[in-house]
Amino acid sequence: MEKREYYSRDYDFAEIEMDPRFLQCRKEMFISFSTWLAFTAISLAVAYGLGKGPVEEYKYILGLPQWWFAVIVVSVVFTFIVIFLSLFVFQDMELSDTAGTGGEKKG
Amino acid sequence: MEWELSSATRTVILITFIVYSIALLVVGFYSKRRMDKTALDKFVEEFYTGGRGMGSLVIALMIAAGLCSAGTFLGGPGLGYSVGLTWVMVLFAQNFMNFYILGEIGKKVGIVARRINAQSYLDLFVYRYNHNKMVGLIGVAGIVIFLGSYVVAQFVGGARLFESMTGQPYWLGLTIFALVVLFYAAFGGIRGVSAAIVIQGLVMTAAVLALFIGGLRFLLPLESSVRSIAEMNPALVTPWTWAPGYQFSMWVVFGLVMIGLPHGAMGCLVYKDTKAMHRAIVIGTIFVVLWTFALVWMGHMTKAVFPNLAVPDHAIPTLAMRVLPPWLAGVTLAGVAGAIQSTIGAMVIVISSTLVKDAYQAYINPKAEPAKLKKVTIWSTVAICVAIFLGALFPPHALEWIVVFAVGGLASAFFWPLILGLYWMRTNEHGAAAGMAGGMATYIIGAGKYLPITFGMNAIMVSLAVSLALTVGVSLMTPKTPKGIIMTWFGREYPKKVPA
Repeated sequence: MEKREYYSRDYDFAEIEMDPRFLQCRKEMFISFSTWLAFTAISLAVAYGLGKGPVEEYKYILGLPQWWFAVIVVSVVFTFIVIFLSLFVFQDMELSDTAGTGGEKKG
Repeated sequence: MEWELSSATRTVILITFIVYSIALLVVGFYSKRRMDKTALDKFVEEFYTGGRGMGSLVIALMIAAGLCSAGTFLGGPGLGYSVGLTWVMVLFAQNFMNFYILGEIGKKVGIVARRINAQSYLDLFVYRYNHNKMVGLIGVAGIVIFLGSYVVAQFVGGARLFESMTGQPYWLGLTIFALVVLFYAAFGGIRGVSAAIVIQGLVMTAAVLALFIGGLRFLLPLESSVRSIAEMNPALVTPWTWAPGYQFSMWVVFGLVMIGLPHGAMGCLVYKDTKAMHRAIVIGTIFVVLWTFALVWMGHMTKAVFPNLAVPDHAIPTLAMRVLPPWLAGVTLAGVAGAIQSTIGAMVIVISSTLVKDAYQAYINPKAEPAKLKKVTIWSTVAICVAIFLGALFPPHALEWIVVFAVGGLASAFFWPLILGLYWMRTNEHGAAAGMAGGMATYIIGAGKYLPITFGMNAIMVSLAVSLALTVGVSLMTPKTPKGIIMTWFGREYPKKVPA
């Protein structure tokens, strides 16, 4: 590619054909971020909701305060969710640029 | 000293630790031989990215052990002891670090890194942002100053623990630590670090399991132990000790901004293929959840065993020496050492790659031949290890001050420029430079309490807000990034050679 074209700042983004792999990467980025958000929101809601009230009146499950037990359960559930997403939702893709995926621009 | 140990116990602990250190030295020796055999013109690549062929176990541990350090093994449990369950909950935010890092940026970084032959985390910023000097300067300075300080603090913590548990002098522990890391990092490069990290990960896990099982047996029946803590101080067992807003901001620090930490994200540069990456998420998650839950919760529960520890950071070692036989207590020390050394190893590679690629090769001597680069790579890594050793032997007063800002400052600088650079074409070098500088400065001002801008939350919230506004705003107000770069980072076709 010529220097002038490489360093041009005056072009339309629509000229560039997006690599389909990058579209999938962006999708998985949103999945990952959403998981963080959901895990955070649910853990906090469960903890602060069940953890209300005076400590002396806490109920106990398996020896642990109810709210703490619930927070652990949330983490266990999300462990399974994360494993499921990684193995069955995330997609495999070729990382190097071979024919058919990406390649050298001619000229 | 809090605990009275017989010299027999101390000796057993020392011996266990020495055995572990020897194993690491052997790793270093073999990695060095491998690097010696590497062709000159491939040396730098092999040193920093090892052929980009790492498998799932190594990647999982590089991220997990790289990020989990004295914070997870000593400081975190210490705060679980002194602050209570609300802190233990904060650390749960890091449970899925592998998923966040690899899931959010892993694949795209994997593809682009191969296109541009990235050898360092900072390369991702330097190439995306058109080799802009401000971006390079802030990145290099930030990594060297903040990560460097963080490494020194880790060393100091590890050597102090060694001193407490073995009775041997501080400088001896420091020397053993430093020599071991020097061998496998400076002479073995990333292959040395990753081989060491597998040993360290296994020792860390053994230590965690031993301590968890031993501790739990001692604490049964569980409910009465928990109630005794609640009676001592109810604030220790309720989440409301920290307001929900503050707790949320800590989940941002320990969860969301992980991609902004170079020593964790560097795993994205070296994994073999997406199958390995997906498995690394699974393996890494299991390790991190286990270490975090077991250790930080045990640190909290130690309150029921030793209600009046003078130094909360001693919770885990004290518990270990109370509930475990001496040789397993030695394994615990080795586990803590492993956590610290794995983080140090990763950080040394980050600092070295940054200095060699993004400072030396970029500005000082762009035409350096392979033989010269090999020398510079090895010697700068050695120099970094020596500097860290000296810094830990004679810790400067500024050290504690800098460490406060280290992780948050780096994350505030890197988070938005990285993720927006990867997924938004309009981000440009000026926006990135502004976002990096603004984020870092805001975090320091907020966390250092120079101005009251944190609104009862961790300073990360305001620094991320400022960084986002600057990265987006300044990018929109200035010209687009050069077409060739956008094609490389977003396009199906891209220019393989950058025109001179």
